[in-house]
Amino acid sequence: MPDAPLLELVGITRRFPGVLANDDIDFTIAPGEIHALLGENGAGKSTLMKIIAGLLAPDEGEIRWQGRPVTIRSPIAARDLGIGMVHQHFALFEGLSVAENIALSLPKAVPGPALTRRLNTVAEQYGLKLDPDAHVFELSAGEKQRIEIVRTLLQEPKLLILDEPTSVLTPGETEQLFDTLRRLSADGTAIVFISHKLQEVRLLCDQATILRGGRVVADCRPSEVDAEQIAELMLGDRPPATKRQDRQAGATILRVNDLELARSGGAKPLIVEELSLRTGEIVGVAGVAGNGQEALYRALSGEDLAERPQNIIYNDRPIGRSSPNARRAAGMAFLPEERLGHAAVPNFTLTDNALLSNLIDRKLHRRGWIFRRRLSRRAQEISDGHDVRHSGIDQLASGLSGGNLQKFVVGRELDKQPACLIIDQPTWGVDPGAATRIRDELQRLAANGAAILVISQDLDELIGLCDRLAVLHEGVLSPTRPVQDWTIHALGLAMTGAEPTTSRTEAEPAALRALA
Amino acid sequence: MIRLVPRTRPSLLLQAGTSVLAVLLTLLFGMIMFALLGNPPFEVLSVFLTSPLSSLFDISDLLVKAGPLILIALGLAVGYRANIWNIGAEGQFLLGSIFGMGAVLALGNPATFWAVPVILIAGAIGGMLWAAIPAALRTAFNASELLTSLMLVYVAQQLLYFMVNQVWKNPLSFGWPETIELHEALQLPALVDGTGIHAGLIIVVTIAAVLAILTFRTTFGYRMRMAELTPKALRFAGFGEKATIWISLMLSGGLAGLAGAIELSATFEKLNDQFSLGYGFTAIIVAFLGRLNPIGIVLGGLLVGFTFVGGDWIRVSHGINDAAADVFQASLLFFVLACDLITRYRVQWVRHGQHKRVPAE
Repeated sequence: MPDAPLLELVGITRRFPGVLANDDIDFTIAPGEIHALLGENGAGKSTLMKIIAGLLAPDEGEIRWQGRPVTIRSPIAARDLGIGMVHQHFALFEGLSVAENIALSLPKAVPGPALTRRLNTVAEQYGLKLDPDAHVFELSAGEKQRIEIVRTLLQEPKLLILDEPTSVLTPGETEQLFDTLRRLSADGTAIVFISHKLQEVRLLCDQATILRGGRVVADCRPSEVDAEQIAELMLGDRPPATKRQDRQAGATILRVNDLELARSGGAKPLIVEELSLRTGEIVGVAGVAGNGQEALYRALSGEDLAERPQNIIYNDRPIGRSSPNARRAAGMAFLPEERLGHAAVPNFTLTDNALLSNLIDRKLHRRGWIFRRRLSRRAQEISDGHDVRHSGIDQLASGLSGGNLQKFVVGRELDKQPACLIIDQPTWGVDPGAATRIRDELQRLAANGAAILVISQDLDELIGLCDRLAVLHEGVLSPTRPVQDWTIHALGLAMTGAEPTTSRTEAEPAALRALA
Repeated sequence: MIRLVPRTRPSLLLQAGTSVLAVLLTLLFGMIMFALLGNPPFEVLSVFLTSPLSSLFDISDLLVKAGPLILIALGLAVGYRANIWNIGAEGQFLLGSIFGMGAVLALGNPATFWAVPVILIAGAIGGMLWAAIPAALRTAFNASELLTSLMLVYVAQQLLYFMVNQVWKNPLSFGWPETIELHEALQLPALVDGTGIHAGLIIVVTIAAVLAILTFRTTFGYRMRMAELTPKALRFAGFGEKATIWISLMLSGGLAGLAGAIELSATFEKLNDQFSLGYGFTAIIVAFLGRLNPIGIVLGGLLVGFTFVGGDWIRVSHGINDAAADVFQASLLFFVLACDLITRYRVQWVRHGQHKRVPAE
C-alpha cells in the first residue's frame, strides 16, 4: 500500500434538521488506492461524498489534502484540487455530440482538433472507447457513463469518486469499467467506489469503509472478509420481529405468474416468476432503491399493463391488462411511493385530492357530475379519521408536511376498506409518530382480512409488519418465505446480490441459493 | 437576497388583484413608451382609456372583437391547464371559416336561417380536423404540438389564399380575392339595431358558462385540471394521457373553428384574404389573462377587446404607429405572466448568508 495519504477526513460531522447524516467520520485514501464506501440507503455515503466534492460544508471536522488542511468551498475548488466526481445520474445534452458535451464541461474553450486529440489519448490510455461525433441519444448507458468519466479524467484528477457506477451497466460494460479503473489506479489515481454490490467491491477494491446510520462501523480489506460479514456490518443488529397483531391468513386473493415488464433507462426488466397474496396477511418486498420497486408497483396497480391478462389473477379473474380503476372496482387499492405528483396532485386542494383514487365511487359523482358537498365531507372524514393536521380541507396538498400528506393519502385508501392493498414505501420520509400510526393502521387492515403487499426499503419496517418477505434485486423478485426464516445476513446477501464466500464460481443465481 | 416560497392556499382575491396590478403596470409602461416616442403620455392614455366606451359604436366594436377572442381562449385554456400547448388556434380558426364557407356553397347559399347551425357545425369540424393533426403527431410520434400546431397556421393561411384566389373566387369581384357573399338569411342577426353586436355573442357567453361548470363541477373538468405537470397522478387516477391530449386539442380546435364560422357569418359575410387577423394568437394572451378560468377569460377577452379599440383610437388621434401600439398590447401579456409569480409564491427577503444550505438526498 502506498505511503502518504492523498486525502484524510478527520471527525467529519454534518447535521440536517432531525438527522445526523455524518457523525464523526474518519476516512483516509492513498494515491492509487481503490476504496469502497458501503452502506444502506441513508447511511450517509452521499453526504460524505458531497462534502469531499465541495457541494456541502461539514459542520465539524477537518479535511486534509496531501497532508495540508483545506476548506473545499465549491465544486470548482474541489476540481482545482484534483477531485473529480462521476454522479449516478448523467448530466448530458442528448442532442449534442460526445465531443460537444465534453467541450462544454471544460473550464476553457479547447479547439476541436486539439480536443479530439486529447480525447483519443485518454481513450487509448484507459480503454475508454468513444466516438467523438456520435450523438448522445444514440448511446447506451455504459457509453454515456464513459463520457462522464472521460470528461472528469480530462481534468486530470488525483481522486475520482464514482457514485454507484455499475447500477446502469451490463455485466460486459462493468468488466470494461473495472479494467479502466484498474489502469487509473496503476497510474496513481485514487478512486472512491460507492456501491451496494458486495461482489463487485470484493473484486475491485483494496479497502472498504462501511457506514451505518452516519457512523463508520468498520474499515476492512474486502478481499479478506466474507460477504456475509460485510452484509451484517452494513445492516447491523436488528431486533427480532416485533409482535404482530393476531391475524389468520386465508385464501389466495392475488396471484402473479411469469410477469415480465421492461424498465426504462436501460435497467434490467422486472421479472416476477411467482408471487401470491392471501387474505389477512402482509407480504413484504425488500430491496435497495432502483431494483424494480416502481415497476412492480406499476404492474400491480395497472399503471403499466402486463403482457397477458393471466399474468395477474385477482379473485380468480385475470386482470393483468385491466386498468387501475377496473382493479379498484374489484376491491383493490394502491398507494405509490411518490406522495406529491403521483398519489396526490400538488396544486389541488385536499378536497380535490380525495377524489383522485375514488373516481369509481358513485357516491362522489354520477355521470361525471361531482357532488362537491359529499366530496368535502369525505376529505374531512379522511382528515379526522387519520389525524391529518392541516388548516382546512381547502389547503393545497403541496402545503402539507410529508407526514400529514402521507396520513391523508393512506387514509384515503384505507377508508375504502380494500380487500387487497398494494403500498410502496408507506412511511418514507415520514416523522416517527406518523410512521407508527400508519403501520398500526396497516396491521389493523390485515387483521380485518385484507391482503397487503408492502414494498419498502426499510428492513425494520418490513420485519415488524410482514408475515412473509421476498427480495427484489436487479428486477428479479425472489420467492417469498416466512419472515422468521430469514436471517439478517441472508437478507443482506439477497439485497446486495452477493454470493456466499464458499462458492464464488457462479454469479447471478448465487444470491437465491444463499437463501435455501 | 430574494426567496420565493410557494403559497399553500389558492387565493381568488389575490389572482384578481394581480390581474389589476398587471394592467396598471402595462399602463405605466405605455406612458413611458409614448413619452419616449414624443407623444403627450397623459393625453394618449386618456384617449386610450375613454374612447372604447365613448359611444355605442365603440362598445359594439369592443364586443365584436372580444367575442372570437373569448371563444378561442376558452378552448385553449382547457389544453393549457393540461399542459397541452396548442398555439395554432389561428390556423384552426381559418379552417373553421373555410369549412363554414364550404358548407354555404355546398348548400347552394340557401335563403334559410336554418342552414346557419350547419355552417357553424361545419366550422367546428374544420377546426377539429386541423387540430387533429398535431394531436395525432403528438400521440403517435411524441412530436411537440407546440411546433406542429404553429406551423400548421402558415399552411392554413396558404390554404385560405388558394381558396379565395382560385377555387371559390367570385367571378364578379373585379379581381379581388374573395368569395361570393353569404345570403342575408345566413348572416347572424344583430342583437342591437344599427350595431355589429350579433347573436354569435350569445353562443360565446353560453359556452363560457358551460365550460365554467364543466371545469369545476365534473370529472371531465377534474381530469383536465389535474393533467398539469402530473402525468403520474393522471395514471394513478386511471385517466389515459393520450385521451387527455385528444380531448384538449379537439376542444380547442373545435371552438377556434366555431369562432371562424361565426366571424364568417356575422362579421365578414364572405371569405377573403383578410380573414387572418391574429385572433388565434391574441387569444393566447386572453387565456392567460383570464388565469385559464372560464369566467376570467370572459373578462380578459373584454379587456383585450378594449385595448384593440383603444389602440385603434390612439393610432388615429395621435398617429401612434402600429408597431408601438402592438408593443403596448403585447406588454400586457408580459406583465400578466410576471405578476402570476406573486399569486403562486410569496416573496421573502432574506439577508445574505441566512439562506438554507443544500439539503442532503
